[in-house]
Amino acid sequence: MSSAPGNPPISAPPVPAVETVHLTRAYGNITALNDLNLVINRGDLFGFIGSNGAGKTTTLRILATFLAPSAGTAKVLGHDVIREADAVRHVIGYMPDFFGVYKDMEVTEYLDFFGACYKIPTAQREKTVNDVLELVGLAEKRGSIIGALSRGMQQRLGLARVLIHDPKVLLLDEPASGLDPRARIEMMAILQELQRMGKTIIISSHILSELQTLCNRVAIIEKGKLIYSGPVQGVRDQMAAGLIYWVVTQGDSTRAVELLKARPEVTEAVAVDGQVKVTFVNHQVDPSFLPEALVSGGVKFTGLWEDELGLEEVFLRVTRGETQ
Amino acid sequence: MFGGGVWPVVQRELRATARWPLGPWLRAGGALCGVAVFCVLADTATQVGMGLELFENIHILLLWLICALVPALTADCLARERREGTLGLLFMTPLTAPGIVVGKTMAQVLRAVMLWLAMVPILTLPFLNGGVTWADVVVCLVAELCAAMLCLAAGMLASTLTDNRALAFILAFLLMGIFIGGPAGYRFSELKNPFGSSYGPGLWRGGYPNPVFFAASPNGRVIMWNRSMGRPARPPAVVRSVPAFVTPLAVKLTIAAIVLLITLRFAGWRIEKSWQDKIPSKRQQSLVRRYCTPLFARWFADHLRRTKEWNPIAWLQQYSWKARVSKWGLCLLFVLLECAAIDGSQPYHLAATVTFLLAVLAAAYTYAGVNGFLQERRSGALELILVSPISVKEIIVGRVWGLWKQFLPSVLLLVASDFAVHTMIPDAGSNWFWVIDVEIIAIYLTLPVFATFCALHVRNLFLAAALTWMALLAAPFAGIMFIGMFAVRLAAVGPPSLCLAILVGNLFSAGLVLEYLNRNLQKRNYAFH
Repeated sequence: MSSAPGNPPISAPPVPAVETVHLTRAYGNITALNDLNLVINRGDLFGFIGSNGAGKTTTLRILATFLAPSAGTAKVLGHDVIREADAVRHVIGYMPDFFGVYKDMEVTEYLDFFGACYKIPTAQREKTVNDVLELVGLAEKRGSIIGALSRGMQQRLGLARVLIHDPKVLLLDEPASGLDPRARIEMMAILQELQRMGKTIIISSHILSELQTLCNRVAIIEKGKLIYSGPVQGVRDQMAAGLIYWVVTQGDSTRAVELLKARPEVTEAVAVDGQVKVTFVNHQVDPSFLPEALVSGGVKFTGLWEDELGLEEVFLRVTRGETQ
Repeated sequence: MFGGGVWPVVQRELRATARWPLGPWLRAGGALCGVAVFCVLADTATQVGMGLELFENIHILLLWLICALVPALTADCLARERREGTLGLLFMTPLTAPGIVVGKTMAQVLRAVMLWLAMVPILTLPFLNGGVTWADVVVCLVAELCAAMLCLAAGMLASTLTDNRALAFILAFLLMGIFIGGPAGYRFSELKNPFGSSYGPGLWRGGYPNPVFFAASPNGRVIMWNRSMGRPARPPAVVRSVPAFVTPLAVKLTIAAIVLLITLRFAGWRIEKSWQDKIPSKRQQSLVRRYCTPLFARWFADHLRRTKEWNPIAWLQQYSWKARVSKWGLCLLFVLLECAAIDGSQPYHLAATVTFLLAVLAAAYTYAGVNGFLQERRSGALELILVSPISVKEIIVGRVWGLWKQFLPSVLLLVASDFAVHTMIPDAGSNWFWVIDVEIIAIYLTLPVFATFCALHVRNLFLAAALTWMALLAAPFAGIMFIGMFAVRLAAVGPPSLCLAILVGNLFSAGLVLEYLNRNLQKRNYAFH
C-alpha cells in the first residue's frame, strides 16, 4: 500500500519475528514463566534481562521448541512452536548456556555434523563451514580437536554452529559468559554485523552495560513476569522512580536546597559534596523551571545536568533479585 | 606429609555419604535382608552339625559382599572430585595429595567397618551350634581383612586413573580381579589347610570361593547348603603348631598391607601429577592421527560421508577412532582368544571361551548402547540435536543402526564360533544350543532400543544397564504372554518354535518400546541438561 501523493510516506508497521501470548510454564508447583506477552520485531537486537531463575532460559527453550509451554502460545516468524515445530527449527539458531560439544571431534567435523543435521547439501557444506569459521574468527583452528580449545573458543564454536544453517532468528543464552574482554567485544561486533544482515537476535545476558549499547530493545523479567518490554531509552523513563538533576552552585548550596525543596515538582533536594541533587516527582515534569527558580532566588550556579541512569541502575531499581 | 591433615577430607566424605539420597533406603533394605538372613540361619543353626557349614557360608557371603561393595564404593571417590572440579579446590588448601588419598581411604575403611559390624549379630550364630574353632575364626577374619585391603587398593587405584565414573567402576573390578584372583595375584587357595588337613573352610577348597546355593528342603523350608554337603563329618582340626598356622596368614596379611600402601602411595603421586586440567598435547594429537587413522583413509572417509548424508546420528557412532578401535579390537581379541582355546588340549576350552566372550560382548554392547545417549545428555549435545530439524525417527534409527553396525562383526564371529563348536564337538553342550544363538541375535537386534530407552529414563549408567538387561531377558516372556497359548504350544513342539517365540517376544517388546520412545521424544518429555 502506498501513501497518497503529497502526504508524508507511511512507514510500514513492524513485523513481529517472535510473539508470545499468555505464555506460561510451570515445573510442578513452581511457575517459571507467568503469563508472558512479548513481541519482538524482525531485525531487532533484543536484550533479555533478569536475575538468575527469572525465566529467561525457560522462554528461550520454549522458543527453541525444546520445551512445551504449560499454557499460552508462542510463534516464531508466524510458526507456532508446538504445532509447527519443524518449521520453527529451520528458521532459528539456538545457543544454550552450555557448550554441547563432542570433545573428541575436530572443529570442522563438529560443524559438518550439524550441517548434515540441518540437511545442508554436501557440496555447499564445506564452504558454509569455512565461512562461519571465518566469521567467528576460528579459521585457524579448523583442524583442532574441540577438547583442546579454550572456553572462549568453544563459545565461538557454539556461535558458529548456530550460524551454520543461516537462521533468521538467533536465540542466544548468555553468549558472552566466560569470554575475556577482547573476545566479548568481538562477539558483540559479530552480533551487530548479524543484525545488519537482517537477522533477529534475542540475547540473554547479565552484562547490562553491553546490552545497553548493543540492543535496540530490551525486556526485563522477574519471577517469570514481564516487567518491561520496549526501547532501551524508554526503560529509564518508564521504570526509574523520578528524574534526577544535579546543580553545581557557587558558594554555599543551602539556599539552593531550601528554594528547590519548596517547589511542588521536587520530591527531594539534598546537598552532596558541594552539589545539589534534585529529584523530581516524575518524568513528565519540565525541568526548564529549574534555572529560572534558582536565578530568581538569587542563587548563582555554574553547572546543571541530568543524571543519566544506566541500564544496570534501572535494573537494580526495578527488580529485587528474587528467584524461584 | 599430610599437610592440613586428613580429618577434613574424612568429615566431608562421611557427610556426603550421610546425605546420599539412596543411603537411608539402602540401609533399610540391608537391615531387612539382614533380618531375613538371621531368621533363616537361626532356624538352620538348630540343626545338629550345621555350625561349621553355617560359618563357612556366612563368611563366603561376607567375602562376596566385600568384593562387590568395596570396589564399587571406592571407585568413584577421587574420579568424582576430578570430574566435578573440586579436586583442584582441595589442592588450593594446605592439604597434600597423600593427605587427600589417606583421608578418602579412611572414610572408605570406616564404611567397610560399619558394614562388617552390621554383620556381627549374624556372624555369632554359628557359635551357638558349636564346631567352630578359633583357628577357623582367625583364618576367616584374616581372609576378609586381606580381601578388604586389596579391594580398597583396587578401588583407589582405579579412581586415580580416570575421571569417567563408568570406566572407574570397570577398572576397579578388573584390578580387584587381578589382585585377588589373577594368576600373578594374591590367591586365597594358599590360605587353605592352615590345619594340615583337607577340611579347611569351604571357601578355600579348590582355590576359589565356592558359590552359595539355596534350595528348598522337602518340608518346604529354605535351607542353605554348599558343595561340601554330604561329605563325611569333619574330623577334629588338629593344629600342628602355632608358627605353622600363623606364618602363612601373617605373610598374606603383610602382602595385602604392602599392596595397599604401595597403591595409596601411587595414587597420591598420580593425583598430584594429574589434578590440573590438561588439554591433549600436540604429541598426543599427532599420535592419535598417525595410529588411529584408518589405513584406507579415503575409502573410509567416503563411506563415513555417505553414512553422514543418510543419517548423521548413525555417523556419530562411527566417527571416532575409539569406536573403530573398539569395533575391530574386540574382533581381534575374540579371534586371538579362540585361537588360543582351539590350540589347547581340552576341547571344552573353546566352548568355555565362547561363553566368556559372549559375556564380554554383552558388557561392551550394553555399555556402548547406554553410554552414548547418557554422554550426550550430560554434555547437552542431545539438546542441540533435538532443536535441529532432524526428526525423532531419524535419531532413533541412526542410534540403533550405528550400534548394530559397530557390533555386527563381533556378533557374527561369536555366533559362528558357537555354531562351529557345537557342530564340531558333539559333546560340547546341549542340542538346543542354537536356541541360544537365536536369543543372541534377538538380543543383538533389540538391545539398542532398550538401551536408548533406559538411557533416557535414568541418569545412572549402571542402573540403565541393569534395566536394559532386565527388559531384554523379560522380553521373550512378554512375547510368549502376548501370543498366548499359541506360542506355548509352539514352544512345546521343540527348538524351532521356541526360537520363533523368542524372536517374536524380543521384536514385539522392542517395537512397543520404540513407539513409546518415539512418542515421548516427540513431546520432549525427558529431563535434559
